[in-house]
Order: sequence, then structure tokens, then C-alpha cells
Amino acid sequence: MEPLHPELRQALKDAHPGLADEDIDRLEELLARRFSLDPETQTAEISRLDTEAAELQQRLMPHYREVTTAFAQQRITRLRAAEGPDVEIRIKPQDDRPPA
Amino acid sequence: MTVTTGRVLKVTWDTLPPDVRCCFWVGASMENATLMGFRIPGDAQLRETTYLRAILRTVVEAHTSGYEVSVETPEGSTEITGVTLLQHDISPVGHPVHDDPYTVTGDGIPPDARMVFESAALEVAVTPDLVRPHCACVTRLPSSVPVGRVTVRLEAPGWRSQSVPVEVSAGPPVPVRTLYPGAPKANPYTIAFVANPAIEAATGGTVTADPVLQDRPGFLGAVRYSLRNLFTEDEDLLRQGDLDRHIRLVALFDASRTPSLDNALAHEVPPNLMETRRDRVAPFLRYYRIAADYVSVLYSSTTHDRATAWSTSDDFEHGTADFTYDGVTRRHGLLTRVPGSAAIPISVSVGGEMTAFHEFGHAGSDGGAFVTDLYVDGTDVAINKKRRALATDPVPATFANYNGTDHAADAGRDSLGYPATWTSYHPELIVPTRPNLMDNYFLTTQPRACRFDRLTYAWYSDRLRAKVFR
Repeated sequence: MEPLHPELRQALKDAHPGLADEDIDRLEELLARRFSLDPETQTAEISRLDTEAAELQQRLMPHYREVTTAFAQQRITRLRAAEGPDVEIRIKPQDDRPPA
Repeated sequence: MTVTTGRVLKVTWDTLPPDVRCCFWVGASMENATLMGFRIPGDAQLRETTYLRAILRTVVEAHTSGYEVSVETPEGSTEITGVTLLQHDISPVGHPVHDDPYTVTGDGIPPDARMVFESAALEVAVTPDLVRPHCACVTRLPSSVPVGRVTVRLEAPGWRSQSVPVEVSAGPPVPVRTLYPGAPKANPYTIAFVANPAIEAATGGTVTADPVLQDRPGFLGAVRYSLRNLFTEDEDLLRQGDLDRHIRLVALFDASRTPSLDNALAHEVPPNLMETRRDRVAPFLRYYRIAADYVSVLYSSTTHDRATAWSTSDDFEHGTADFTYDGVTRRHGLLTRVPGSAAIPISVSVGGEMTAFHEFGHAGSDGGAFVTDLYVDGTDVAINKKRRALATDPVPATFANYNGTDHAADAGRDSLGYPATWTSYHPELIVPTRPNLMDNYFLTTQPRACRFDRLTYAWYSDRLRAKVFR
């Protein structure tokens, strides 16, 4: 799972006054642990973790979705301005061109 | 023996039953071309017919491709005894198409090589997105490259490859594009970058079209980012000893796919994660005759843009390689039962830092020998993480014994430090001042310099070599 960006962590804290780093870390642990399990044999445990994570998030970070969506939209906007290919076009001198 | 060398400028053949007659012109231009020809007699023996038809095929292929041939005839005779397509020191992969990836392979390609397309009037030099000694890859061929017959070469200061004729087209793009063919064998270790057709809602059962299929530039930008991330950053796991020379790379973007539950390769996970539907990935790729070991499912979402990965499930029935970890013998499967897969948003190509490689770190490992996240305390023991009984216990000097060698632990968790309540600890780093690649690389000023720890690097190197050279 992609690590939590520190700016997103700060945005979550700004949107939820009183929210502690430990609260965010607890949610992070639940989410990360989910992906360390075997999806073929540990579906019940994955489901339990999902439920626990959802409860924790809704209780302590009700604006999580708005904050992360705003963060995601920023990334998409920056994507639009991303680099294009580096191209150099040289027109050959007439003398170098093959006869028509 | 007379040898005539040049391009095949024109080919004609006709059938005058029972014979087939072929004429072709070899040279630099029609003004000075040598006319050559042969006849396939209708009453020829099968062996002779087969031989002459092979010559005909070679001549036609040379005419179509623009490649030079050498034609051998005995002294004083017009009887053709051999036709050879001349070799080049580079080899284009597939046909060049505007806005599509394009790769040229070779040997000893300098890192600053550029791909130069030359027409009668223009030269267009494109800086590749990835240059390795064996390949140069442009992920999106610019439309400024002239359409039609041109030559392509690679060029760097003091170095220049031969020029190879290619036929550039304006479109349409090819759904499946080989970015690099890998080892010439039936099942090379394969990494696939796939545009996801549909996203399954978190609640399951319903799908929406993935916007990525309407954003080809965004997809190709993510492929470019991923290639650079995996093969050019400080972490050299995939390119050490030119390992990547043997790894096949494929990009798949099929805009014709109608969204359905069958081809939804991504599933939303609250609050903002996306996971792959790992059991759907291999069947989806089989439709395109692709068998992959690792699949990067590239998607677009403004609500679920956090990448995740599911590990590989090795196939232990068709060849294994043993290793010992803390004295216990374990196995890598040489083949893959379920490919490792990561759901990676295309927006990650801006500011995503090491996300592509981090997710490969999970997905390339096996569920039974997992490489886990280090930025949280509470996950299970893995190849790269262990636990102390108490957070106040010192971090042991030795992390683990791998294949008979003790590997040290990371006593201080580099610049991040172990929080006072953590019981988990990690192996010693290769670069002590940078967070581990499986840790939170966003917490450093140079995230792209992050690397695996020594133990994980050694373990992963052996695992990949076993699989790549299977």
C-alpha cells in the first residue's frame, strides 16, 4: 500500500481538530495489514479488518473522503501539466536531400 | 562467386503454368540496379521448390521492409544460390505508430542515446523515456515523426547505430505493444502494464467504466513513470547485472473493451484505496495471449487514488528454488500460479515518487514469503519485518539468517526512528541515511534515492534470478 503522504496526513488533522497521529496510524495499520493477508484463505479476516477500519474512519475521520478526494484532484491537475516528449526536429540542407 | 548487395527496389513475379518466374532489382536506385531473376519449374523436386520459394519469400520480405540483401550467384552464371537479409546492429520492436510506444533494441546502447527518425527532408530526434544498454523506449511516439518510409537509428555523442528502414503510421495505436521482448524463450519473466477497463464499486457487483480508457496520454505517462521508476532510480534490483535484458515488458491499452464485471481489474476499497481483482488479471491477459508474472493495473480515479498490491502466488508444481531463512528451508516457485498485481493510479506519475517500485516490492514477493510495509507497526512477520516481545526491548543485532549468512538489523530505523511504542524492527539498510523503500519514502527529501534493505535485496535478487532464468 502506498505510504501516507505527510501533506495528506496534515490535511486530515486540519479537517479533524483533535485527531492524533496515533489515530491515523491505527487506521493505517488496519489497511496495511489487510494487504499482507492471503486473499484466497483469509477472506474472513480481511472482511473483519475492513469493518474495523470503516468504523474507525467514520468515528474519528468523518471528512476523510472529502480530504482525500481534494488531494486526489490536485494530483490529477498536476498530471495535466506533466512533461511531453523531448523532440528535436532538424530540416536537412537541400544538398543532403536525395534527388526527387 | 558474385555477391550483389543493396535494397530490393522492385519485385515482380508471374505464373506461367507450370512455372513461377520472379524478377527483382537490387541496388541503391533503379538507375543503377541489377536485374536478377529465377524460375521455379513446375516439375521441380519438392526440395528445390521449397528452397526457391524460401528465396522468393526473402526477396519479398526485403522489398517490404526496406532491409538490404546480398544475393549470391556463381561466377559467370545468373543462377541464384543464396539470398541473405543483412543484419543490423539495432532491431526495432514492432511498427512505429504515432502516440504509441516504440522500442529499439540493441547492444551497448549509451545512456544518452536518442532515437533519430530520418526522412528525405527531415531528421526528428526523440529522447527516449528509458534507455538501457539493450533497449531504448519511447512511450509515446511524437506525431512530428514523418509518416511513411523513414529510417530509424540510435545516436549519442561519439556513437551511432546503423539505420534501419521502418514504416511510420499515424494510427491506429496497437492495443498490445511489446516494450521489450525479454529472453527469447516461451515463458520469459514478464511485467505487464495494463489499462484497466472497469472499476468494481466497493460494495461489489456493480462496475463503472474506468476513465483511463479515455485518457491514453495519461496511461502512457504512467507507463513512462513506471519504467523509469523500476529501471532507472537508485534501487537497481531489476537491472543489476543487466537482469532486465531477460525481462519481457508489455503495455496493453484496449479502448474497445466494454466495461463489465469480467474485465473489471480494479475494486474500490474504503476509504480511498484501489485493489486489483487479482483472480481476474491472468484470465484477462490470456485473451491477449499474455502470461505475466507481475501486472501493473493502471487506472484513473478522483476518489480512490491510493495504490495497493497483492502478492504473487507461486506455482510450486513446476520447478522450485530452495532458500533458507532462519534455518528453515523454503521455496520460490519458478512459475506463477497467480501473478502479483498492483493497482496504480495514473496520477501517481506526478509526485508518486517510488510508488511503482514500492508496490512491485509487495507484488513480486509470494504470499508465503511476503515483503511488507514498514511504515506501520502492526502487520505480521514477513521477510523484512520482525517483532520484539516488548517495545522497550533492544533491537537485536542480527535480524535474520538468510542462506547461511547473518544479516544485521536496522538499529535505529535510519532518519525516521522507531516510535517508542513499536515492537517491530527491520533489516539493516543499504543506504543508512534514507528510509527503506518499503517504509514511508515520502518522509525524506530524496525519496527516489530510497532502496531496499540488505536482506530483502539479497533475497529478492535470488528470487528474481530463479524466476528470470527458469
